[in-house]
Amino acid sequence: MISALPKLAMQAGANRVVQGVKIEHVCGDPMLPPEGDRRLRRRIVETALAALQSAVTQPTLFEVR
Amino acid sequence: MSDFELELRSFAVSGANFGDRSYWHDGQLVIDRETVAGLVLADSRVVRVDLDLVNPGEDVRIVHVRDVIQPRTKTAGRGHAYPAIAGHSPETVGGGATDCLEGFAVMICADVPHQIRREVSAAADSLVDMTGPGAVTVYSRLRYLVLTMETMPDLPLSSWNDALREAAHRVADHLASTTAGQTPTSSRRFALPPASGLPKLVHVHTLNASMVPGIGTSIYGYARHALPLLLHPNEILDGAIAGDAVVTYPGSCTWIQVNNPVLTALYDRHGVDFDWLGCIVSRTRWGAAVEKELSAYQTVKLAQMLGAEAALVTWNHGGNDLLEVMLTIQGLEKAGIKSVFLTIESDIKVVRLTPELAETGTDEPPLLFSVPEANAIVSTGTLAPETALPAVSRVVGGSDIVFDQERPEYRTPAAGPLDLEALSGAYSPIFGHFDNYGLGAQTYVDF
Repeated sequence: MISALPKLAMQAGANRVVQGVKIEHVCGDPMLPPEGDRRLRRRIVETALAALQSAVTQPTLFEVR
Repeated sequence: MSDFELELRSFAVSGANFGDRSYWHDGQLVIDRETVAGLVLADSRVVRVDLDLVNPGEDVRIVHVRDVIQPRTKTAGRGHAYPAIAGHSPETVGGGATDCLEGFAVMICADVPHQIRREVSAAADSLVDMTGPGAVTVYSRLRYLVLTMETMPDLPLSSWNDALREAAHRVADHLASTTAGQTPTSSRRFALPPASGLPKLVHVHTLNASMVPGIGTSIYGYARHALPLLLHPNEILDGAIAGDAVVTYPGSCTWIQVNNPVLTALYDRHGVDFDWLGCIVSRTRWGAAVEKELSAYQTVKLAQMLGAEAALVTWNHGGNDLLEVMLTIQGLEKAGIKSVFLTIESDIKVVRLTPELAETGTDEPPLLFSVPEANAIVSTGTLAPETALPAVSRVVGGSDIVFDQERPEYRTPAAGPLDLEALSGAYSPIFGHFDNYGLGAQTYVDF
């Protein structure tokens, strides 16, 4: 899952957690110019897709690159 | 006298009535209706006001409750009670003398304009029952002058908040002035002289800040998220922390800030069991994980710089605020500062508390998040009525209640029986149901 609060998500037992931006806007940042926001959103989703393809044995955090 | 030595002079109110002039005498508060109405309507944004007196034990339900304000006024020393809001001076308070009306409060009631319901989910409806199974909170035990106000339509959020809150503070200031020059019912001196040789203790007073800018609890009027601040407890007794007229979450009420039993309990034991250093007020409900961590780190740093050896950690809210609270406890313990956490069991879905549920809990954890270092926790439980609320003979503050903020067009008549569990979903609409500091009427013995 993509979460603004990975510590909470992992304690609740989510296996693959992607670091989101902020509670108010988990999957992007409206403070960025539109093109920058679009790139950030794409990176978050791509990280999530990569996480889905990764084998994990315990709740694992995936940082957005 | 030090800058932070405060004489709090309490004038008990054992009865309140309307009369042709406002005065306090021997426990009786008489309120001049016309003066009060004039003070409320002095701001053209408020177009109408109803005035009602409500007493504990009466068969009354108060609805559309927005805030509860205890009249307090400075009679010596710097500044104005409830500083930096409602046009009051921002000068630092906490010293000299303050008069207060004990057991009495001015209550703001107002229906929420449609556009504000859409804008702020926290501007929800809440109620206070003065008797019966719903009378579980401290707010069922106070006497009120209820101001039911109607504002000009389409006021922006901040203007709506200011109009309601400023009107109530004008009235509270007027009523607080009735005790001038009289002998108080009781009086207590609050000061923190150094108590050398005893363990140094700090109160880590975490305080929710609204995610909607400009509303919610404020410190000297400053409502936005900010890094932690050191307050003398007397500043808080003088109203440095205040609520607003928008957010009805229990811990944001103005009354609870100045009547926080944690402060008097710590004063009772200062110089006896520990050396109380003061209150670090840390805002909670930051939006980003890194902000939560930063706030926790800075809170711990302040405690270390003060030389604290122990900390009492409190919070006034629920939900994701618990992350920074728990990270703070973790940091304090790692820094060698022994910490105790005072908390509700933040299972917000408890709207109706049956004996079985009190015994076994729900299937949800009592705390949303925890750290291994949080190993000393005092629970104030979960406040909720055992049964549905019965019909009442008199309703004050409005005539109906919105239970679902997403569907404000669905309104439930307030005078009838209310099955809160069926009507209100996750959140209890009982004002004050998050009993963060343990003032509620229910104890485990009740169950």
